[in-house]
Amino acid sequence: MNKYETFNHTADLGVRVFGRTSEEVFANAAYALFDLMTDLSRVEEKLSFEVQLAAQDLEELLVRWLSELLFLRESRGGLFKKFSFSQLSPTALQAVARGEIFEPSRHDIKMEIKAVTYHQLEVKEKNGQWEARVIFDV
Amino acid sequence: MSDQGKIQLQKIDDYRWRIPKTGKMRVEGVIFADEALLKEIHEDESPKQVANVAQLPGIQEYSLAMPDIHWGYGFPIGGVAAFDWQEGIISPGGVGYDINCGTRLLSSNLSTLDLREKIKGLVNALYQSIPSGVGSKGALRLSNQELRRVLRQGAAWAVESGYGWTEDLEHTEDKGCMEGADPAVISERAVERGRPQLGTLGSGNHFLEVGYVDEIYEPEVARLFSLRKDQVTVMIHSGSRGLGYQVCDDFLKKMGERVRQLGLELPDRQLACDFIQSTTGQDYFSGMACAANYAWANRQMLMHWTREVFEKFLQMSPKDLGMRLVYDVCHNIAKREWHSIGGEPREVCVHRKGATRAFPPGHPGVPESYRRAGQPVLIPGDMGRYSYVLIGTEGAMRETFGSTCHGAGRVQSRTQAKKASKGRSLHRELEDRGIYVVAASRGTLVEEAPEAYKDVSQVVEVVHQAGISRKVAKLRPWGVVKG
Repeated sequence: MNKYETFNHTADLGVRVFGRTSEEVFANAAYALFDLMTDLSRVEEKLSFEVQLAAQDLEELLVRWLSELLFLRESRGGLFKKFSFSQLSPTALQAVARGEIFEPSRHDIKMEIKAVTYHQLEVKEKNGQWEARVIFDV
Repeated sequence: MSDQGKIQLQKIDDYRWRIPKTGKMRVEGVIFADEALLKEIHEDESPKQVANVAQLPGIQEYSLAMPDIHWGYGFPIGGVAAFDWQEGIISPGGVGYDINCGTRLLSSNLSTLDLREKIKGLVNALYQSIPSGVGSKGALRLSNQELRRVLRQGAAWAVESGYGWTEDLEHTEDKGCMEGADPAVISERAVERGRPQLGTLGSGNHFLEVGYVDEIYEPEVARLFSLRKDQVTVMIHSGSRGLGYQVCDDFLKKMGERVRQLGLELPDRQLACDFIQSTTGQDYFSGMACAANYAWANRQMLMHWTREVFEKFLQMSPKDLGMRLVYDVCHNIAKREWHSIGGEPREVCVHRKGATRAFPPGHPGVPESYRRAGQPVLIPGDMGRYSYVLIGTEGAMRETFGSTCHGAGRVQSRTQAKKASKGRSLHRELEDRGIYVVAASRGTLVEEAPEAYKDVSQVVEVVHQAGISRKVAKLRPWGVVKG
């Protein structure tokens, strides 16, 4: 099973993300975010950032989670490839993102993702499979 | 999906289409388009979004869409909607992420003959001097206190700090400063993102373009705007960078919570809103004004450096160059304005998301030097074809809350554009058409390929024929710096 696939949106870019658990779908969504942005094979797991968040529901939590990582990318230069969760409920999460700080000599930014939108946002479970849909502003 | 089937449109005339009031719509929708554009519009289901906006509390008269409408988040891009200032809502999604994304145009004393041998060198020099591209950072190191002054004062801060001339302010929408800005409502994150980016062009569809006047439609008005045939011009398209994005993001979250508290039923989460008179509504307005002011300061600085590059590269004095600011418009904004509703003046909050203000002759919002003619409207096209200068009309005041289109509008998604340009040299293709482009990355260049956009002349023809603005001049791109 692929971690994610992209779909077209006139001005921007959408992703459909898959996983066996909600944790996996959240991790794969974050992976998609950075995979679209840069060549992740060149990113090493040198350091980790802790993330703690609360939201009203699982869908909003997904947007907040991805927005948080995007903020870490923009403000601290963080590029992440591995994600693990010590807590993930519909209204809160505690996670660790592993990766390294952007270095222009080794890393390439393929695409700038500017925001994670709420537009047509969806997180659902069907027959034990999780799927999320989120649209990025690029 | 919130989109249930296609919307039925009724033809009003050749340039106007009605979305009848159905379901929870409080008012009708009206789309300005001709038959050809309408086909494209129908494909991306943006009419459904026009109908969604019509459901929001306090909306006045019509939910409107300009001919460059395309699918956006929540509100369509190219959408205009006015909400009662006392009873209505305000919505960050009705403004967009890039608050006060806008365009400014400079005229000059140069003609195309003066630059014929020099255009490439000049564009390269502009590219070297003006920070652009993904996550670009400026040379400025501002303190938080100084940034707060930027947020309160906008373009006036830039002029006071030595970037440009006092008369530039007169030719900027709202004189480059929106009232009501309060930095106290802005998050630390917004400040953190915005501080290093002031004075940068950014990426995506933002650009700095040296062009020339190709055609004049109204000589008298063109003269008033100091435009003449074959004259060299500069157009700058940029916005509020990461700061505006963060303000939008912060308030989408806050308003999402408020929507739940208020029990408002919305067809899309991205339509999150609150009443203008609520604390969150007022805070958003103040925060949006801060981001708008940041964007005006930003464009003012970009223009100042552009003038400096011209002076240095061409070894000419500012006086000989005569690089006057024609005008600066914003096309992602919500404004507190008075409009006639059912024959009575009413204070409303006009959301323009991918739409431009187009005030008529005599309106106090038009600079004194242009007031007898009307407000200049700047419509950038794609980088391969042309851009337009229009003028605001009484028709816009009557029908569209003093608004018109903002640009070409996308027809291809970024990924489609990328696919279509695989194996091609866009640089070469554009150069064959006499357009020299320097881009920070090939990625943005191919995403912004001319065919990814509607033909802006089709869009402009509709607003001209419908009488919500008039054509004054057509500009052609010559040398382009892409972010």
